[in-house]
Amino acid sequence: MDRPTIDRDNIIERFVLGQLTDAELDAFLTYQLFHPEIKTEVEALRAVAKTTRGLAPSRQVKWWQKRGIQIGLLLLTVVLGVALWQLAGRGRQHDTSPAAPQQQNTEPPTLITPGDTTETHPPPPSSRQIAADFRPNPHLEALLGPGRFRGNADEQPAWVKTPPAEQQCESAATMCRINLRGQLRGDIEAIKQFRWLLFSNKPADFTALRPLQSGSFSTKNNPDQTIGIDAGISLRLAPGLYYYLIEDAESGATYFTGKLTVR
Amino acid sequence: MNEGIQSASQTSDFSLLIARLRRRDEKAWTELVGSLRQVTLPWLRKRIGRLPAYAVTTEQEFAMEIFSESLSRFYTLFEKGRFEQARELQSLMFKIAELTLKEGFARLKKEALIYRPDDPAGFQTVQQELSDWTNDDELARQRARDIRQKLLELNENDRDLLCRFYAGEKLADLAREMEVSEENIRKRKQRAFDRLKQLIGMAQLFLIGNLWTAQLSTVTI
Repeated sequence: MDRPTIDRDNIIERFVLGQLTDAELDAFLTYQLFHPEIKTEVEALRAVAKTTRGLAPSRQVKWWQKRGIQIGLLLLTVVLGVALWQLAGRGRQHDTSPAAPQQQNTEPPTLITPGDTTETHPPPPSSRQIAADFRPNPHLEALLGPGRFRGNADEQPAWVKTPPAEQQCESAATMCRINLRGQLRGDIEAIKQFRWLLFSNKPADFTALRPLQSGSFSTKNNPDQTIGIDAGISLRLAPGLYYYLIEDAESGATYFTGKLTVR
Repeated sequence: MNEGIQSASQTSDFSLLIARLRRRDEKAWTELVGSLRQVTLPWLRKRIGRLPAYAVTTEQEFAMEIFSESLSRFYTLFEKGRFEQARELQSLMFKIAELTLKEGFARLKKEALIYRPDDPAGFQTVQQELSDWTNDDELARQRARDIRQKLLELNENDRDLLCRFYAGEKLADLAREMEVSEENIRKRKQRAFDRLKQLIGMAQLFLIGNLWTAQLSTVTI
């Protein structure tokens, strides 16, 4: 990239506004490294953009809007509660055995991962008690499949066999069992850093890095010089769409993204 | 890492790649920048999440700002460092990005004070909270006030167009709304920006840029 191209294609403005193509972006970032003086122009344009934005009202959420969300969630909880109660009643009508005293399951969904060390996060109430919907999360859909680390065994752990990118769990009433098994080549110490994270399909949960659950893998050396990773995750989930990520706990780099549908 | 960097690793030609980078080979650097962007930007976006309400930047722009700053620092540190594997380059980038992001978050509040219209009561409170409010920050704030003043001197159409464009509205949408062609709206926006530059004086505008650049360059890893 050269200066005439930058001026002709309005590169600085498009860079500030995030409108460059990947190729233009890489070329312009490299140009910036070799010609640091151009940063002054970039910062000047950023100052204009930020000042004009500063004139717009702040994105602050008003108290009544927050309260509105809370009221909405409360109503939704009540409506779903009533619906579930009715469904449970219908289910009992089909049961010919004597009516047993109704047992309410007040326990939070449990996580059983034999052999794994598993961290649990405070469950966001809305993601468990309110049935999640099946809307795809565009951020996570874009990441589905192996991550961008495809280096050789000496450099980056590379997949030999990935876990399934799509998993199904048919019965939401019982525990869902998800098996995350894969084979990689690479430095075992690096692979031991891998952890899995399970997200709901809510974009806010993902952007705030608020997984429903996360945990580590058990690893084993295979005779074919590969390293097997394994995590068996059992948990109770409401019907909906969920995503799991396998990432390097140290760098946060994502190695694999898959999805799980609970029907 | 992308194909170029990867193939260099696979053929044990990493030292050759490093040599090309040290020679400031533009193609090698563009490849490296691309591969670092591919791994660092998604990670930054995840870490940034949703910015606070007072931020004058969008999440996407903030991520790019942090990445761009991190890359400059990476470039400086690369000259001094020794690297045996591609993984080390990536690891250095992540460390720098982590630190730059931390500083970036701290700067968000300052930027809100600099770029939002004066709020003397709120300003006093927040300024007291910010122990590292410098003279340069104060100067930047005055310059931003000048830009704001000059923006208000533009005619309403120009001001509205610039504000909406920089707030992220697409030219195509603006053109549709105003029932003119996209090319027409692009020219109108450019003329409005040229008028603003004239009013401010480009030298003064660049000074604002210089202030930030100077502040960034004083940070060491």
